[in-house]
Amino acid sequence: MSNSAPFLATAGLCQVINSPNGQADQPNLRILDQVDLNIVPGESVAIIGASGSGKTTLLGMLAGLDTPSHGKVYLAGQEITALDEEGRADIRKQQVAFIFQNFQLLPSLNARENVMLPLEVKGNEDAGQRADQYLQKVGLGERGHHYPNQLSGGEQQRVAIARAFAAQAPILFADEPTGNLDSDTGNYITDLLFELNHAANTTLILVTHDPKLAARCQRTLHLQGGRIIDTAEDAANV
Amino acid sequence: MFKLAARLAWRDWRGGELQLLLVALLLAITSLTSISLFTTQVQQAMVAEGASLLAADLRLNGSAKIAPQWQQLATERNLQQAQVHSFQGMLFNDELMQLASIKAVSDQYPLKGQLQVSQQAFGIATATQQGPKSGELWLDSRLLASLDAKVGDQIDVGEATLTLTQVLISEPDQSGGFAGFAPRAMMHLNDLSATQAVQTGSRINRSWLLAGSAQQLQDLRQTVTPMLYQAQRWQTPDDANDNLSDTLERAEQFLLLAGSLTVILAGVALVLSARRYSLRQANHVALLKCLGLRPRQLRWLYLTQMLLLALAALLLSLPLAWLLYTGLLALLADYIQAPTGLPLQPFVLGGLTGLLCLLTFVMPPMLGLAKVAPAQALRQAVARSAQPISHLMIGFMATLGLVYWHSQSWLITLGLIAAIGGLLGLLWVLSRSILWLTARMRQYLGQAGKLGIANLHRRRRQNSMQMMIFALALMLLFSLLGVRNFLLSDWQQRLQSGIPNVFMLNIFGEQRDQLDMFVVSNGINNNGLNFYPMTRGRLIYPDPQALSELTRDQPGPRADRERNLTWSQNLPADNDIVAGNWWRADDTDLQVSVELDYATRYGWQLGDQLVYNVAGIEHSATITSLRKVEWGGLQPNFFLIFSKPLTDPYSTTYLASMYVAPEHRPQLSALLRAHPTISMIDVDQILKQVQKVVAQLSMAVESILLLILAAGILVLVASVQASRDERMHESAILRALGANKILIQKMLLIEYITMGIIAGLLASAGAEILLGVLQTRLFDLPLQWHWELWLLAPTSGALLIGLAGWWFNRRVVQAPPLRTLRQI
Repeated sequence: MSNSAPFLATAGLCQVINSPNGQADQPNLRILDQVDLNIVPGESVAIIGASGSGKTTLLGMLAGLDTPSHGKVYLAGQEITALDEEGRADIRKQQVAFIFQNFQLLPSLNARENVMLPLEVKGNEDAGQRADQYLQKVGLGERGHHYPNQLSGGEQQRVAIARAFAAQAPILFADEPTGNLDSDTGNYITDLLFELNHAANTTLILVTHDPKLAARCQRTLHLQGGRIIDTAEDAANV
Repeated sequence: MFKLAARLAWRDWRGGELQLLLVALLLAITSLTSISLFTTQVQQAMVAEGASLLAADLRLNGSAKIAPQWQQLATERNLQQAQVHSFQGMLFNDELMQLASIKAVSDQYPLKGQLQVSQQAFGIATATQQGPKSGELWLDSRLLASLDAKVGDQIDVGEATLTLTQVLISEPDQSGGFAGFAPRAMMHLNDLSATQAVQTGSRINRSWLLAGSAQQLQDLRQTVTPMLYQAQRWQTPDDANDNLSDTLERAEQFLLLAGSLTVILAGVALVLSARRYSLRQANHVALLKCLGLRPRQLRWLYLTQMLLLALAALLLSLPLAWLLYTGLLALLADYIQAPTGLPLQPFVLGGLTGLLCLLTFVMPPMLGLAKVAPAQALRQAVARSAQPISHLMIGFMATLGLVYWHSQSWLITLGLIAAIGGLLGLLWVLSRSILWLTARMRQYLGQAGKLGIANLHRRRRQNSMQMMIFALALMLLFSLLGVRNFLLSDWQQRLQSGIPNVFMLNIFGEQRDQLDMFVVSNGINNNGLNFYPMTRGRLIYPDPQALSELTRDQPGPRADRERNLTWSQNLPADNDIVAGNWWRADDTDLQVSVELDYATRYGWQLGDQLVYNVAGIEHSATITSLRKVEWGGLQPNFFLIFSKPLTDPYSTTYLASMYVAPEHRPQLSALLRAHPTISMIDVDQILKQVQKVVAQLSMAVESILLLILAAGILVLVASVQASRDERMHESAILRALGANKILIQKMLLIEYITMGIIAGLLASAGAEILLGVLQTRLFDLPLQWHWELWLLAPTSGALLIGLAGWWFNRRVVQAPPLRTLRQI
């Protein structure tokens, strides 16, 4: 683990869901419990754990998509938990990119327009050009005018990867990026993801339950019952 | 941000997401603007029609001279003026002479409307805008017959000799009814003094006709009124339009009602489309938030998108509305004059309504989208959200405002809103109970039936909501259809062929057989004539002076004038007894049956005594029944019908009416020559005018109904579409579990047809109530039970909703289940 200042950090992060009304005798559900972590720029970290261990919730908190019950999250030197939704939106625009398990491509937009979307939100003038360039990088240079329902699952995820890297954000959050794909396509997508990540030197936070995918990251955090129980450094990163 | 909003809007449009919303908005603006344009035009036409029946925009009637000072005041106000002097005078043609009602008119007469003239008696008419010139005389067909005159003859009017140049077929301001039944002669005002027919103390009516801007007329009226002589009265177009006012008023109310229903239907369609759009946009918004768009920016984004949509809708719908209005106008071209300028107000009204609909019906769910959590992008849930009460309240208040804005009638607004509000509650309870019942029926059904009913039952909350919308749309459509039916059937009576167009008065008892023979042998009327005994009588008790004073400001007949009285053993065919009883043949005392409105006007009730003086003898009769009379039917009708003859058989005269076909009209001259004592009233022109207007208004009502039908079907489509995503998902799961296409198709069909039938039944109940209120309160017609509604509404509900459900869900079974599941 590097000694440089952390790019992403949490302190005492908790997420508690209150028991439903009228069931005061039921205990509150603790989804995240005192999570502390530090991630330095350029680092790749996998968060693994069983279903329901709180992986996706933690990812949402780290990316500023959700707010915790207690604790703090620092991203790019700012305490994002102290910001309102408007402030967090600004941070996401400047610093963050995503890859989702269910791809989250807009069905009414073709592949090229889907890749252009974050660039247009940022107001980039060369959105189209950059989208073409990244579609080329993921091997879909000829498929830009196809709509999501005309693409296979693997192809859709490649478009999503192009969209994530085209934004050139310093940090990339990936939620089960191969979860919806067969193993061959999954391997291909994993290679592509790490290859582009290496080239761009992006900080990568990856949520998965696949140990092989986690092993590709520099560090793995094991989450169980909302707590980090073990941190393993892995040298097998690309 | 604008660029991004425009780009996203364009991509959504291309993807088909915005189309239903645009169509709903388009329909709302188009129908409202065109209906509003059309209503404005009909209203203007009504005023113009009234004006043409006055031959002016404003008229002053009385015996006193029109002071030169008043004429000066009118000139200063740029008003057009004309004068008409009417009096009774003798006409002579060689040995023959005849008393006539003579009208001396100035150059400008008529200021409004047209005169119809011909070159022969009862001949084909041509229109002219100017009356007779000095030295000319125009006579009506009856006078030509009784004076045995032809065009070109020299006729003496008092001391003056004038040349007969035209046969007068009709004049705009001819008085309807039996008051003006003396045959008409028309001459120029300049020749009046030469006739020496009018001396000091002669009975003469002097009318001052005025036309010009409403404001100037009002101003002049206010200035002149304090200087008026006794018995001088102003007359406005509203007072003159007796024959048509009822029809036009009902047509106008139908249009306003139709406009209000369109607001509601378009509002519902918009709410449904907006809700579906916003639900489908939820994931979109979550992603945009992940990409860093702020909630405020998202609100701006959607506001901009919706405003762009509104702009597109306005640009498309305003010309469309104009086209539709032009089409409607073309249908009515003969009646409604082409407008001098296109009125701006309806466009503003339609445009603003569209914008308001957008802001109140569409914007709340759109702005609510900004609250979608960005973390939703991480989950795979299908967006589902309940419509917040606040959104529904905004929509409800907006509907209330819009309906009032369009109808300008609290009766329509509150009646409609109360009916819909009450019905929604009733529909909710009923639909829940019916769903409960159908669930009990499940055991008797096949596999598809069971699944369909189970589906219906499982989603009873959404289905109840959907059924309420179906029922609401069907209810509004069938109510409007009902209103159209009773209006048209009411009007149809006036469009029947063979309605009497000629009335004959002063027929003596011994002339009846000859007349009967004449009309039968000449093929004018094969069934012979019906004769009504008639006499003139004056009211003695209660005090007619006091009654006339009491009702001075009300329009209607005066009590101190002579009235036409009749007697009969049988109740006339189109009269209904509303209070009391018709007399029996063996009753010995004198009884009288009074027309309902006439009795109400003077506060007469059953059991009251009336004393009439007929030819010097007083007759005292008890009121034993009140009748409602269909005046629009143009059949002979009487305010007062007595149970026994009021005169001896030798001095009784009779009234008869008949339909004379155009080819038989020339024979009327021979009839009049053979029976010179008979007075004939020719209402052919008036009847034709009424029939033309009624036929055209019927067509207008039908066209508007089609427009509303389109709005109603759009609501049904929007409602089916609204639940399509959920149904697709469920069907895909069922198919993945092994259900075949036919089973799912049957299941969907059963579900939608059941909903259609239930919604149809509920709509029948609702429409029955609404029609009851509208018929009795708004259109002043008797309450009626509409049994056909209870068959039509459920049948068409099942057909329409079943068909729409099947059509819009056909992709559910056509697409492979995996693709459907992936897309959701």
